Amino acid sequence: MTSPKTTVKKTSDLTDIRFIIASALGLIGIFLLICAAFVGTSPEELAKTGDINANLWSGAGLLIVAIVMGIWWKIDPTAGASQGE
Amino acid sequence: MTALLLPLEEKLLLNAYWYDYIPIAIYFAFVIGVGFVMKAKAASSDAFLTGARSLPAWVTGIAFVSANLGAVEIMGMSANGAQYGMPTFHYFWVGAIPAMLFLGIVMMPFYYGSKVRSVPEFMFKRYGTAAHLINALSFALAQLLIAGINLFLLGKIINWLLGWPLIVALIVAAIIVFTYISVGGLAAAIYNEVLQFFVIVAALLPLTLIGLHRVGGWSGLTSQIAEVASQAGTDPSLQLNSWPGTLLSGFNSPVMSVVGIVFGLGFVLSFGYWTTNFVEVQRAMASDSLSAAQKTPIIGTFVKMFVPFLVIIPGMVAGVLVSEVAQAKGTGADFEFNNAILLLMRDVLPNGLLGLAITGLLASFMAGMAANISAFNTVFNVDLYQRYLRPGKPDHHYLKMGKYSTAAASIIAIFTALIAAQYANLMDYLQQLFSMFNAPLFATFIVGMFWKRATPAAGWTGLASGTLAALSVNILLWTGVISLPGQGGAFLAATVAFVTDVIVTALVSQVTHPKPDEELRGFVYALTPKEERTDPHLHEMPVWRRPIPLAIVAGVLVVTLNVIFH
Repeated sequence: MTSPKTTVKKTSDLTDIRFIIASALGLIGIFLLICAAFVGTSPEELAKTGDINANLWSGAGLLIVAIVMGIWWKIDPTAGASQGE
Repeated sequence: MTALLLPLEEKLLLNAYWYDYIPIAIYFAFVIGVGFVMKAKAASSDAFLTGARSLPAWVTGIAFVSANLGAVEIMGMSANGAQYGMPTFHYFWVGAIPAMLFLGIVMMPFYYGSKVRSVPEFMFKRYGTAAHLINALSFALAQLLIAGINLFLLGKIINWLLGWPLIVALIVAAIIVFTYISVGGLAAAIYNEVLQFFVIVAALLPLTLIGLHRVGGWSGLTSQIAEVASQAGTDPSLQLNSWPGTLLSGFNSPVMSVVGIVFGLGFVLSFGYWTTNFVEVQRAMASDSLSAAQKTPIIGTFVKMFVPFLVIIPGMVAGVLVSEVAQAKGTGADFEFNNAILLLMRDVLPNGLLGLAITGLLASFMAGMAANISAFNTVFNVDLYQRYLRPGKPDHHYLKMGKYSTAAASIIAIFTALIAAQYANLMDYLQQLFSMFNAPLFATFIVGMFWKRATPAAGWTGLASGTLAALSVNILLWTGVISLPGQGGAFLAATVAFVTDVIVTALVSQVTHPKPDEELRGFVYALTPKEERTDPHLHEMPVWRRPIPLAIVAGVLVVTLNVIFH
């Protein structure tokens, strides 16, 4: 289907480690945000962390890292693996 | 026997809910997925065993640190932090960074430039068969053993945290590691180490920050440590200053302690470990250019110097915040300090984040074992099977063999883990035994790289006598003939081994014949043209991306950290 010419140009591919990191951390981040919304806001849970909604902050942090990784992956396709082959 | 197979803890250490399994499931789905994603890139035996030299420096640099960020590092160093406080920083800043920079700047041009596929193969090309066999066999055996110990620690932690029977945990973990390595090869192992690193940081950073918040920040932490120390009748400054670190070195005199830490830990022990250990060097060898190989350990130092904040500080927090740990510190009672970080997780992490923390621990322990197995694979296939047992076979034969040896190593690791479960002391001794090869290996390598007169006979006699010297010192220590507190014994054994190796190598070289100069091209400094030792594309890179400027920045940074946290 694709002509040999278009395959020469390197595009962001799904086997890039940055895409893998971005998706794994992103999913875990979403999981933590769901936890932050539905569980772990009882007084005894909050006493553990010293009145911080730790799931919320950690989840948000992970999402940001995932987004940064994803942007890097998108704008610089070659930095994740060698261009060989 | 039943006790061995099913040591179910009556009470689990952490109270995980069903949804705490979700991040664990997400992570392991990705781990196995990475194996299949990398399948296409592991189609030849060379790609399977060496990663086909295709990875960028930031990936191999993170993997370099990650391969070492296992059970010993996380549990052991947080335990040291809880018990001894800030002197523990030296294991990272003195005990790793200088050696990693030296590996990148001085030794990597030879390892990578000579196109060898393993550290023992370098030994073969430089010194011939006898030295090669000593290095390859001891390394392969050590990796099987250490893989088993790492697997045992992983099984134990699954047992504690999730309540699975030990044997089930061992088999499941071994199957996961086998799956992704046998499908994706070394590149899959390295990719998973990078993923693992991010998950560990995601798990430990919140733990550190929440822990510090609970004790009232850094000043709250130090004042509470001082309080606990005074109650126990000890000097708080020993825990709150990293230098002179008398608790760590075991020497009472501050001057001796500094000398011991700088030379003992910073030179003989750490250079032996970081510069010749193929588990680490292999990560650099998988990178895509000579400058990337050099930058692998150098980029690694930037990561490595901040790891202590994520493991030692939680340990220190646990020492004042977790009632069991604080009590043990105050009364000096016998206590398993290795559990300090787990107890802190129990006390400060809400469910959800707790699941992520468990994921991080499992990830770290499993990656340690996977690193051992992938390094074993390469040495077994490249250095033993292809060289001595079945040379000259077609490539698909070696690729198949690589997968068989992965399976064999995973199964052997299960049995080693079961032995470790029963004879903890035996494993300690064996591990010490293999560590005795480190200091002499470093001596033989460094002499061989810079002195072309060092002969093949000198290579193996130096190695053998250095190892025997280390063994003798250790026997004297074990039997109590000489006794040194703290790390003093380890420093002494490594120093004696290093010196003996250098002397024997020099003496034997006087009376035996060296290899001809043309065979040593690429392996000895004076006989390797500068073009072979430097990356041809180096001048095209901006200055801040070249190895030496990066190493200087790392050096300045680590000195600064030492000044701030003196």
